[in-house]
Amino acid sequence: MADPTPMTDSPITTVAPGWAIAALGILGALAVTAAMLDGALAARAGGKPGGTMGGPVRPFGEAARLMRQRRRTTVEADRLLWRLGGAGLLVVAALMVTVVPLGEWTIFDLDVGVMWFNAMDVMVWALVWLTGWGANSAHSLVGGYRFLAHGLGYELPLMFALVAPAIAAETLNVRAVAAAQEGLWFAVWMPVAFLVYLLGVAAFSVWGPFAPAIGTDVSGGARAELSGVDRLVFEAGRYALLAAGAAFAVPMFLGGGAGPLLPGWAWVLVKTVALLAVLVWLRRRLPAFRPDKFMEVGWMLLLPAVLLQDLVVAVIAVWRS
Amino acid sequence: MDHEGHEGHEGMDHGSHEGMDHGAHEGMDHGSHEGMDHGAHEGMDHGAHEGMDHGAHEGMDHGAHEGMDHRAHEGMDHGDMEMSPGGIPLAEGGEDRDGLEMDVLQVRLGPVLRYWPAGLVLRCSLQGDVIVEAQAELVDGRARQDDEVVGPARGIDNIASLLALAGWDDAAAEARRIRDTALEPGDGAAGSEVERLRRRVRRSRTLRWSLRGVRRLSDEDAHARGLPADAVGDTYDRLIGMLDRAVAGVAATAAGDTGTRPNDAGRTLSTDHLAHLVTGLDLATARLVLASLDIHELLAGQAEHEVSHG
Repeated sequence: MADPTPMTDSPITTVAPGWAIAALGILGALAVTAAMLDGALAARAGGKPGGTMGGPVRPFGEAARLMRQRRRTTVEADRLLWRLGGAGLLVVAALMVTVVPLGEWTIFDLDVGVMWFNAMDVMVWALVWLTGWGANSAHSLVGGYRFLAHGLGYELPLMFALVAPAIAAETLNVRAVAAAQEGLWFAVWMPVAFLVYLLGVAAFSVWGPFAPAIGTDVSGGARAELSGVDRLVFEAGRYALLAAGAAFAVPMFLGGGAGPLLPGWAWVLVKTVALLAVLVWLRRRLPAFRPDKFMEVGWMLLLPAVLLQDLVVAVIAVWRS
Repeated sequence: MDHEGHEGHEGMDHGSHEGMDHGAHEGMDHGSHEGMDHGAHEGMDHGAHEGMDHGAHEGMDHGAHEGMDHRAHEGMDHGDMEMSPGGIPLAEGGEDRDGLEMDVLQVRLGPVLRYWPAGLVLRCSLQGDVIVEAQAELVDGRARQDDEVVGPARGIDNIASLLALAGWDDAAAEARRIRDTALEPGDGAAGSEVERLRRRVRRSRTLRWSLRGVRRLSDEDAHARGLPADAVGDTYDRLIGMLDRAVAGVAATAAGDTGTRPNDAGRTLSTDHLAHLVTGLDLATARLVLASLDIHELLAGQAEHEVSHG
């Protein structure tokens, strides 16, 4: 379909490219919010702060520490690929949010926005792997392996979870998916897809139970050798991915900007922050899913469950039309 | 026990020998207690780092030079020479478990590593992330009988290590806080706290799913390897056992019963037996298993002499 503003009647404005800077700002603010919340929760759990600053200000202390930390390097590191991997997460997160409509504004109104998001999250595979591989160190290499093992477990369920809203809305355009939820959010009648999607977000952010790729048990894994600014960018990338994943869930599952009183853009932000808070909190509740064991869950439990969900959604979609 | 076969050694690995314990040892001891838990500290990052990854690669500093030399040679000799980019020999292949050839990496774990028994060095041969061969030794192998750490604090510290390695930061932080409480004189609060931690850990199905079946040891296994009777079971059983002992230990301490120190009974292990326990496991699982053994003191084993020069 060549027409850039197809079918549905919901008003949408594709903003000038310069506004991408503003989108980056919002993404950054969300990532910082998530980091502050994580710091606050860590302080409440009695964890020792990582420096002189604890609690919600911890991310700032950490950032300051990392910015003046001298950059270490390893012998015969593949620096180009290593840096690409570490910095790429932030780029991917930024590219993800380009298709998320903020109320009536969006940067790209792609006909295949859902696939765009999916393509971006698959890039994380390469990036984390490169981060682990590029350093030329055993522990980070093991971290890279472990991420791929997790990836085999989570990626297919995540893809099929994204399929469900697309089937129901009969489009891959993100704005149209959001508009199709008039009256009833997809999260309500396709809960399995929603939950699997959230697991996927945690997974591609190397977050919480999906953190073994950078786990303590392999001495930091993929990020073991990252230091200074490289480390800061990597961590910022993880938070940004988490924020982007939460933001994308809003048009896909939570009705986009729909809501009483507040304007659309505000509802998008409120829903994003709420979801982000849940994801941050989740990390504290669960121990790691060991990759060797999670593979079984992904294939034996999540994949059939989400396929069944797709079937149900497809039957309902056919029956309605 | 470690007096045999020590002719060639000066000081370093010697059994009963004062001298050494102050320099290297102090640093380590601190590591396991305080520094180690604060992962984000700069100093610590380094500690873990050096011990593990770089320790084995001497000559790192000459990276640039050696790299150049070697490249030049390689071209001329058509790869006849042993190739070692940057001064590090390339990994050599070895038969994997499934019969395919796979690179063997030599990785040294310890002696200073987060959530790791202080002073323990494990020289591992890795294929992928599976330990195919391991040799354990102890830096400054003297069991410290005069340890001033009292009561159940050390056991709780080990619980914190295992929980942290299992990726459960929150519970690990709680365990560390309880350990600190238990170290304070006249503690009354630690009892209820450690009981609450035990309930929380037992409630977690994810943790049980994750640790169940990891290095299950039968009675005979434990006996043959010189492990205490409570090491029987899998890693999850051992974690629950550690918690039970901590609860009992805190209760005993609170009752003023400092003489028996139930927590410390029979918890000295010889490094001889550790290598067998981790062979065949992947790196992360091996660390979980080691942490689950609730090691308070390590004794340098007989095998130490042969491997330390290997």
